[in-house]
Amino acid sequence: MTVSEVGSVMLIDDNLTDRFIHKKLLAIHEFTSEIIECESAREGLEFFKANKESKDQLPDIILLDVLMPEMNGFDFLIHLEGMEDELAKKPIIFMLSSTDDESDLRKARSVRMVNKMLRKPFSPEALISAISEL
Amino acid sequence: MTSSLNRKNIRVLYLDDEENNLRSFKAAFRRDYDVYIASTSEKAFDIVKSVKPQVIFSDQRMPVTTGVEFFNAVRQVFPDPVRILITGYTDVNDIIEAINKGHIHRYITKPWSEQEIRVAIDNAYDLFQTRKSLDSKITELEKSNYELSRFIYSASHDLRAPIASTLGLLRVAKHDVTDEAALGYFDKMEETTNTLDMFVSNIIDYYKNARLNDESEDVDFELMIEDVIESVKSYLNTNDVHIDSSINQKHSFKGDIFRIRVILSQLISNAIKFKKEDQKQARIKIEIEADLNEVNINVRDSGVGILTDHVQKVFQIFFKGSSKSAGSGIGLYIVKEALDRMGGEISVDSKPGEGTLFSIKIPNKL
Repeated sequence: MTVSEVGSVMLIDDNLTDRFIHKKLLAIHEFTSEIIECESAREGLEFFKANKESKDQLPDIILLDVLMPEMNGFDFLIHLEGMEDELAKKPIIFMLSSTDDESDLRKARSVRMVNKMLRKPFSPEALISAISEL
Repeated sequence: MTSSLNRKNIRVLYLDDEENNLRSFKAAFRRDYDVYIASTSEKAFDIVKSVKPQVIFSDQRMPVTTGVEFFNAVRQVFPDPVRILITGYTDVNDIIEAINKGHIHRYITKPWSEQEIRVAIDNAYDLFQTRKSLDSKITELEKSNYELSRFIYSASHDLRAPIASTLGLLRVAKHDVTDEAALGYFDKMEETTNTLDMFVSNIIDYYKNARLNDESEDVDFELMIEDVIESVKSYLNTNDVHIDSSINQKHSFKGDIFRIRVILSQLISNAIKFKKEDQKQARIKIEIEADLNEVNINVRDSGVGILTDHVQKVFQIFFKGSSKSAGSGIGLYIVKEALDRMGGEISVDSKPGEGTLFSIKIPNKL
């Protein structure tokens, strides 16, 4: 897969500054102009529930923060996995973590839907090389 | 030893089916100790429950239960009191077995002397106190280990998250801003923040390593090296590295994944950081040979090398080769500590200007 094939990206992160950084960096590297911003995992799930049948609305890529209050990134994935079969389009999921905590890495590897765990600060170069491996 | 002043705090229970023995025991010791007597094991049990004696004596030969049986029952519910058996010579075999199984602390043969019992009580009380303070030390240790784990978790997330955000903002700012002076400041800020980032990560690694638990898991060195290289590259924000690795692992290897990862990360990131100034790209060679007994890992670089005077000091905490070094002075210390925990070894061979070879050996916990 190449970057030009990426239609839309969903950002799920409770931290406003980090969402700002990710949005900016995606724009600078001309990823896509279609960005769906969610400030909680719950909001992301609601979006998926509302748009599960619409191929045009669903994102190609999710950048998912690991540590969030109320519902963390891993909990989000459990819910998403539950509705996976009903989705018109399966998203490619990259998790973002501020640590390279061994236990988080291991957990991410055990979740089938996760393509890769990326370390914050978000690096578009790392994302580009991860996408090209798909 | 126990001073005579506080002996009244010592609660002693004596169980014997013969009233005469009980009476003479009480008469002999009641002035010095807090003495309780019981003629049946039921009564003795009640006293143990309500009074919580530190020392219990019991006669071996009694009509319903033997002393060893009584102690065995007490031990299940109240393990703390020190148990001493009073017996004739003929029962010795049973008693040796009871001592070996840890049911009783010692035995005293009949007829006992007052002096003998006094010494036994005082020693038993000392043992009781020592065990108690050991227990509370263990509880304390477990508590601080738990607190350490929580600190590590929150430090690794809460402390590192704002650093990551700052680095991210600087990346964005460097694109958005064109002013030369401002860009110069951003570069300096980035450099400083990277130093802080490394220091925080090293501190977290240090505390993770200091935790007590040692875990043995299956290690796939191929996968681990891949992971480590990727994380070190993203961490140092560089792709400009040439790494040549040869891994030979025919057998399964059990070891502490976290500690081995920390060691490899530190050695590889050092090899990248300490390349020669005129070197365009850091060049690193990693060799891993794992067999049933151990794994031998070599990490060789062609970087600046270590001064001969410094080679012995690199594993000391807060040692820095030069004041220009961006290092925290903790990295190699953590490597050494982690290896010590696993029973591993490390050696260094270095020539200034030519490069450094770190060789490590870690036993297979298979």
